[in-house]
Parts: sequence; C-alpha cells; structure tokens
Amino acid sequence: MATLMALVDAQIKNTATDQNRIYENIVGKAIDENQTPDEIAAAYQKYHQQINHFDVNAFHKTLSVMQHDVKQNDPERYATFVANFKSIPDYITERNNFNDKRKELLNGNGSNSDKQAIFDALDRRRTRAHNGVIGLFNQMNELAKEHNLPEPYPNDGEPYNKNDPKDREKVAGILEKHEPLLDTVNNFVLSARISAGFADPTDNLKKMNLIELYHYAKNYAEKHKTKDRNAQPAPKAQIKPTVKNDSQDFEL
Amino acid sequence: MQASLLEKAVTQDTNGTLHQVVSAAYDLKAKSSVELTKIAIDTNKALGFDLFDDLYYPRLVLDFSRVARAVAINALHSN
Repeated sequence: MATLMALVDAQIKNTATDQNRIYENIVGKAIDENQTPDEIAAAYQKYHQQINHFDVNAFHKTLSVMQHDVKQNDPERYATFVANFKSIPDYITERNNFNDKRKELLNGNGSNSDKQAIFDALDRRRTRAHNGVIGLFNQMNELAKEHNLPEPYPNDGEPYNKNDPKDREKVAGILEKHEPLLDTVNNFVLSARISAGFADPTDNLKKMNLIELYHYAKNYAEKHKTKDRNAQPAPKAQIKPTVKNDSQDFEL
Repeated sequence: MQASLLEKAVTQDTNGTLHQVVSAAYDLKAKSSVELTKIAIDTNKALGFDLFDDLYYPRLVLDFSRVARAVAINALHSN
C-alpha cells in the first residue's frame, strides 16, 4: 500500500508532466522563436491561464519549505498551516451536494422566510470554508515569496481578495481542478503534524473563555501588525500584457 | 458556468427564456438567494441543460450578470 508521501509525489509528478508540456508549447516556443520581451511576457501570461493559476512545481518547492524549514524553525506557524489545509476538505464537503440540498429545500415545506434562513446558513458555511481556502492560498504564496520561490498560486503578484467574486471563482476553479492532489496533501500534512507531536492550534482556542480569547486575539493582531511593518513590500508585477481571448465576446 | 453553454443559451434563445435572468440582473432591488435559485432552476429546466451549474448565491449573482452582458452583446452583434 502506497504511503501518503508516495501518493503526493506521484500526483505531483503527473501534474508536473502536463504543466511542463504546456510550458514548452507556449513559453518555450516564444523563446525559441526569438519573440520580443512583451510577446514572451504575453506567452507567460497565457501559460498561467492554461495551467489555471496553479504552478505545481512551485507548489512542490513551497511544500518542501513548509515541511522542512517551517516545521523545524516555527512549529506554531507550521501547525497553523496544517490547520488551514483543513479548509480544503471542509470546502469540498460544503460544495458537493450543495445544489441537491438547495433543490430539496426549495421543493420542501416551509415558508419563504424559513427557506431563506436555511439558504443563508448554507451560504455562510460554504463562504467560511471558501474564505479558508483563499487564506491558505495567500499564505502559501507569501511563504514562497519569503524564500524567493515562484508563487504556487500566481495572481499577477497580488493576494487573492476574498471580496472579489472573480478571485473567489479563480480559487474555486483551482481547487476543483486539483482536488485529488490538494486533498492528499491535506491528509499528508495532517499525518506529519500528528507524527511530529504538534498540537492543533485550534484545540487551545476551544478551551479558552471569552476574556482569554479576547487577549489571544489582541496579541495575535499585534504580532501580525508588527510582522507586516517589518516585511519587505512585495515586488509589483512590472509587465501586464493583455492577452486576446479567442472567444472574447463571451469571455468569463 | 461553461462558456460554450452560455453562448448556446444566448444565441439560441428565441422564446425569451433568459428574460427572467436579465430582469433579475438589472433589478435595482436585490433578489434573495431563494428567488435567484428558483429562477436559475427554472431557466435550466426551460433550456434543457444546466446553464447555472452552481447554485451558490455569490456565484449566481456573478453568473446572472454574465448572462445579462452576453445577451446585450449578442443583441448588438445581431443588428
């Protein structure tokens, strides 16, 4: 029986083979044909669209950094990463059967206001899980930037904005396309955390009373405000070429 | 929402099937998630395929605005 690590490696290898082929066909071809820097940048943009904003090679490198550097040097941050990976199966659970639940509720008994309340609750749960995934993707990108690696979830150098419907859609699309890999990685990092004996950071939160939670939240906000002030600003994307879509009229 | 299904729905709709969707998109009063879901399900049934494949409210809002934009673009091109 394959170990989780072997399964992750195999899935990454399969995805990397496809990605490298796309890179050769688009960016490699542009470089070989001695195109202008703007055309090469446009080809790179097209490559990112073709790989649906998920760079599996960068993801592999970032995951290695997380599993080695972060785990050794900052166990609390590592445990937080692992806890955030849990948002992947949570989102998958909320998303699957969502449409069937909706139809069932719509056809069921109850007033419109009752149905609306249940719809809102379903939407809130899914939104919370979706926000968790967006947060995880941004954290992975941040970790990659700190170690001078390419971003695993490139978004023109900007973090994904949970208030932007198009960014939310991009994140949902990435997760849908790479669900098996990301779900396996979640199981892998969870088992690695348990083997290393690190506690789930949310376990302590569940035991705290209101005042302790308030002080924890205050200290957490202060710690991250200081960290942000000390952080180097991310380099802005220099070139933003436009890429003409084939079906521009009905582009999504 | 798939781009091919959107194109099919917009270019082949001659019965005003998308009228409810366009009205909802341009309505100044935001429709509730129950109302939008009902319109999406009814539209899918009338079209014969799942144009709206995700009934999550924020996604429906985005997809309804896409349909309205596509209908407007199609109307311009067909004149």
